[in-house]
Amino acid sequence: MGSAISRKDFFKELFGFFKQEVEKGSRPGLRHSSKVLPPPGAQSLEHYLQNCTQCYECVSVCPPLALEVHREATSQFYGYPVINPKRELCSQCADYPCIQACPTPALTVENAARSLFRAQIVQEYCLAYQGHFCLSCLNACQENAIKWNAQGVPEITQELCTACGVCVPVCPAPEQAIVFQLTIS
Amino acid sequence: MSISRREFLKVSAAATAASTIGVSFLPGMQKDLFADGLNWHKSVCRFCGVGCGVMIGEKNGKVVAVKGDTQNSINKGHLCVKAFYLHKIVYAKTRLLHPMIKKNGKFERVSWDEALGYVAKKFNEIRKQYGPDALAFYGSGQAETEETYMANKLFKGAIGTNNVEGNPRLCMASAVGGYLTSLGKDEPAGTYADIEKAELFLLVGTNTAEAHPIVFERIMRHKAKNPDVKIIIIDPRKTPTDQVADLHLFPKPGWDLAILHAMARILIKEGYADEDFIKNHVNFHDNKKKISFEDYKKFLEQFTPEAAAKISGVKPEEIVKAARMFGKAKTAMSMWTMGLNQRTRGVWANNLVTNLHLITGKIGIPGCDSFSLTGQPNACGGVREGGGLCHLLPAHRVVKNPKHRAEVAKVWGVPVENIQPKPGKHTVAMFDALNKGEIKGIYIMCTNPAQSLPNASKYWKGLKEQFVVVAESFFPTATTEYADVVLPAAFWSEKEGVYGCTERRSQYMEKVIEPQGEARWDAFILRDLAIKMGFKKYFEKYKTANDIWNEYISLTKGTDMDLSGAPYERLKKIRGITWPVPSVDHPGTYKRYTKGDPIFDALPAEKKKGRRMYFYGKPDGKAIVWARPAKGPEEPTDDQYPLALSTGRVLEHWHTMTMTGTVPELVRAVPMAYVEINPQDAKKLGIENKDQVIVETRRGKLQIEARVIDRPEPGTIFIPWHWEKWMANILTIDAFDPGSKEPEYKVCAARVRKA
Repeated sequence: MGSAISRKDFFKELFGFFKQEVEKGSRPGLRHSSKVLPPPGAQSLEHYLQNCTQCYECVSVCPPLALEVHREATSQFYGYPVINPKRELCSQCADYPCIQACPTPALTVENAARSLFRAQIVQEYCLAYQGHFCLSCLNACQENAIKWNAQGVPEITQELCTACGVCVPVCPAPEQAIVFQLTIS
Repeated sequence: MSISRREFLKVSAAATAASTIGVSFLPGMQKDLFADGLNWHKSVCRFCGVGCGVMIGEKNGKVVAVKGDTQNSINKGHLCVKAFYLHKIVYAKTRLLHPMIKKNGKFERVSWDEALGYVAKKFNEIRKQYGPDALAFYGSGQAETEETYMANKLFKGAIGTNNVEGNPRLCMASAVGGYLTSLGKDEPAGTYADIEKAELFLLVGTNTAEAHPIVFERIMRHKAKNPDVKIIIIDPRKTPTDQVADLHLFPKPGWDLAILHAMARILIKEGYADEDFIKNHVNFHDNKKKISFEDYKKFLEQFTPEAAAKISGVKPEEIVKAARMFGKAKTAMSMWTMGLNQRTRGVWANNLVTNLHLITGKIGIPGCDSFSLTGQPNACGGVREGGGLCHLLPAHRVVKNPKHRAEVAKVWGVPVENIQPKPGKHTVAMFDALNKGEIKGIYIMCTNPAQSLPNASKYWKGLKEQFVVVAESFFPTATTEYADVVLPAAFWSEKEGVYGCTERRSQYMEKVIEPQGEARWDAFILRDLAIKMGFKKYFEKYKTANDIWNEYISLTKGTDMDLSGAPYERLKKIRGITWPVPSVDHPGTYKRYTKGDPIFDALPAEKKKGRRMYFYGKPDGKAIVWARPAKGPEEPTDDQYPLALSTGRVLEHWHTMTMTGTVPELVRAVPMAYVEINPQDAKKLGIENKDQVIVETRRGKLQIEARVIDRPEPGTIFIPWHWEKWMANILTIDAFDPGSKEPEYKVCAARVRKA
């Protein structure tokens, strides 16, 4: 147990906690963990979901056909253009045809440099965390963002991850052990 | 142990989903959900030479699960991702279920009787008309010891030809030659137990993380617990193994012998030599004769760091640093595999690593060893120990020794004249003879030479034209395409038998289920073929696996690899045992040539006076430090072919993918082949990542996808060899080490251009 906390600080913390939870609850369906990614250029998850009109212009111009319309009914991305790395990876086109095609503020070039999400290992499904030896994601990562940590299991350095998704389709675990975690909501 | 409701639901959802296709167990799970009704059987992994213990879960006569054997000292319950899916491979749709004979260019299903009768007839015709040497056997380091034993007896003892070879010729022969010339006897002096006691690891020509993953994991965890542990890599390529390295020297492929000599020179000059150890345990030799320690030091003078740097392309200060790190470490373990073995001077390369340990006395004590990593699960047990090469007989005997022939003939119950004194054809020579029609009939077991031979396409001619019998568990393979007869072989878990791994550990594998379809155990296929060929009196006695194993271990009694203390009854109860083990109450041997090794212990005191080790394979008990020339590759790069091509492996696939290629999860991890090109070279060639390119050598052309990545050093390229569709071996060179006859897969000259 930590040191004693003042009454003022206690209520501050408590209030802050409830504020956070209320804010979370007031955005229905905003989930921080996802198997699919929005196209590059989104300002925030909330901004994307609010501004995208689902015109699918970006889907129609995507050279590798990586963008698809998400059909999972319970997902926050239902009906939205997404990238599903398990099926096809984003080519990281230098001229961003998807952003150029977008008629709304949902996608802008200024926001293309960083991804809203970062890859994260699901420890319950990852073979390495369950006591086996696997390095498929570590090997696939082009950014050297996945390394063995002091416990000898792969760890993703969030700051280096660009959410390119290459680690997702290569994962040989029975259940997909890499998902994306929201860092910019 | 309690498990939260949320965790239980999460885990059971995953497990239920997986259970429809077979399930693997995760040791982290807190509860064995399928504990009821599953029978667990002790076995060993089907894949690499590490030898991990695997438990096979069986229910109602079906293999439904595998998990790591927590009681096995090698892996303590850990498995790599390949082993994780072994239960699926048993039921692969590509399993060969019925014997087939090729009639009018098409495979037709036949009965076992017809198939074996046909083979026997053809083989007898060939040997009658052309002599026994017109027949050959080509086996495998993945076959069980009992299987290789039967083949050896049939061909060398009954038919009377020494044309018996196996794919370990292509991977471990140089290590065998290295150990025999350096230490006097084959296989490492220590075991894996040295890993947790070593302060320094010298990894030469090994991508340990991908080719010997569980050994790598042990090294990694050992270093995590002991941050002062240092790891040096000498290899032309960056690999995941680099994540634990403190120093990495990048030699030009094939030019590393000078580095090892330069390290030896520094060790001696800077006082790291153990003069006392040298005086009592070491002789010095060059290629012609015995020399003195002074002669050796003079020989080393040419290998200054600068000279070695010029030859190898490595910075001189890095060579010095590596030598000092090795010298300073109280205990040091060197490990190497194909990077040093698959070379035209592989035996010499092996010698030079062992030199470092002999000069410094870093051998025979815990944490110190010159430790060759074996690639296949039973190259040691079946082929090196079982004698499945053209010059060998069981238990490290040689065909040229009349006493050895007599001992083996007696146990085999065959006339000693049947066993020829002259070695038969080694692998490359064997397939060359097949091309020429000198060998007219060949029996290929548990291996895929049409894809795995170096300069592979050259040898398809012989396979096409001569009579080829292939005993195999999967169909089709590159080799079955040329077969006249295919015989369905029982697979892992469908047969009992022994595998002997890298660390001299022989381990028993249980038969868990009946073979698929009409598949039969290779050892009994060979027995029944022998009987049909007319050798009933030599083979009818083998009714069970136990019969074969007992006969084999009787031949090991009194040898350096004594296994007479390892009958099935004992092996079934324990997690393997390291030889020599001369009796059933002997605990097995950790360190050879020293106290604790029953052979050393039995030596008379006068012999051991002043010595802590006695290398009893050498006439005076002293190991040899070899002053070998620093030869480079057979086919160096030049203007026409400016890039050095190396081939190798990925973690997720095994060899020619007949097994891992049937597992969707492993295929999606690495779905296709590629050529790794350094970004500097790619830029010069105008090649971008994912471009289709043509890789060409003097032997062949391959169209393949480029992977532009900073892994192979500039001037080198790398192709994983697993895919039949992108067959790297049509590019590799079949030049071989004159001593070991092992081909130089690891370096040849190539060029690349956009397709």
